[in-house]
Amino acid sequence: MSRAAKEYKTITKVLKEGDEVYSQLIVGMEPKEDLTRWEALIRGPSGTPYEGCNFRLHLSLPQEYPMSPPYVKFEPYAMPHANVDFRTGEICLDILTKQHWSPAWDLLHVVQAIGQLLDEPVSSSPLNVDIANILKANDMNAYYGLVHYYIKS
Amino acid sequence: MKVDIEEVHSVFAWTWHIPKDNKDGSLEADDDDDVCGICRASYNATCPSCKYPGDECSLVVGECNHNFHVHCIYRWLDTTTSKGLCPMCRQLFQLKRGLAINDSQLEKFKELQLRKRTNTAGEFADEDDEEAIERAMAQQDQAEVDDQGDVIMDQGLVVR
Repeated sequence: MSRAAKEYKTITKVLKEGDEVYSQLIVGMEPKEDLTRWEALIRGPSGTPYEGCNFRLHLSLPQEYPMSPPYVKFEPYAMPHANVDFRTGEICLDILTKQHWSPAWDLLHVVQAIGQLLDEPVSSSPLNVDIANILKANDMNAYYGLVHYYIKS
Repeated sequence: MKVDIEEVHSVFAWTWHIPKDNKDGSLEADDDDDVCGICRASYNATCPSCKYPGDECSLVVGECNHNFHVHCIYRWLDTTTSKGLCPMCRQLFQLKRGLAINDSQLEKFKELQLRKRTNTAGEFADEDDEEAIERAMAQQDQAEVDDQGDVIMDQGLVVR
């Protein structure tokens, strides 16, 4: 059985049984058409400006998966975040690059890492310069305000 | 009483003999129910590209006590991005010495290691690396031209 099929089994089980770590973050996660394309819906972590909103992730597995990392994006124009390109949804996260990926990680790890990124934006490697600059200036009011403005519009 | 045996059906079960000498608590091994960390299939099953379990699709034990199907770990170590590291602990992956299960693979892994070393010594085998270097060089030029460039931003681009 392929690795993706194994993961499908694990993910279904984890979501059904309500795992402590993942059910906080993941609303739903399932393959589209075949096992190479997935969609996940994640909850904005509490204590962040994303709290109270859900965000959709698109994951696609390259043919070499798990030797190469999955491609992961947010929905375009939906995620205002220092390390996410707002227009495309592209995510800047080290474990999603070929140089840092390990086949020991799986889709659940990836989604969890993205959840963590929402909690801890890295302003030194921005894809959204506006938000990164506000974070660098440590202006929390402006940060919450700008993120909320983007999410609502 | 006399018993006549008409037919005998033998049933065999086998598992890989994996040394478990990690009682010193240095490793959190085996909490994942003995599955290969790469393909997530049981040690005693095959890797995804094989049909029958057994000698053809055997298991290997790393010096770091992480076990994989030989095909899975070989495929990983054969990628330029693996840098020869164990997927689980990121130490240099070496076959553990003195284990019957590893013996038949030693040559193959040694050959791979040698090939990787000569590859990376001569050229930048990785496209991404090449791109990164090009980008870094372009940025250096840029920085020389424009001293007032945003230093933090430039760093950000290099990290990406």
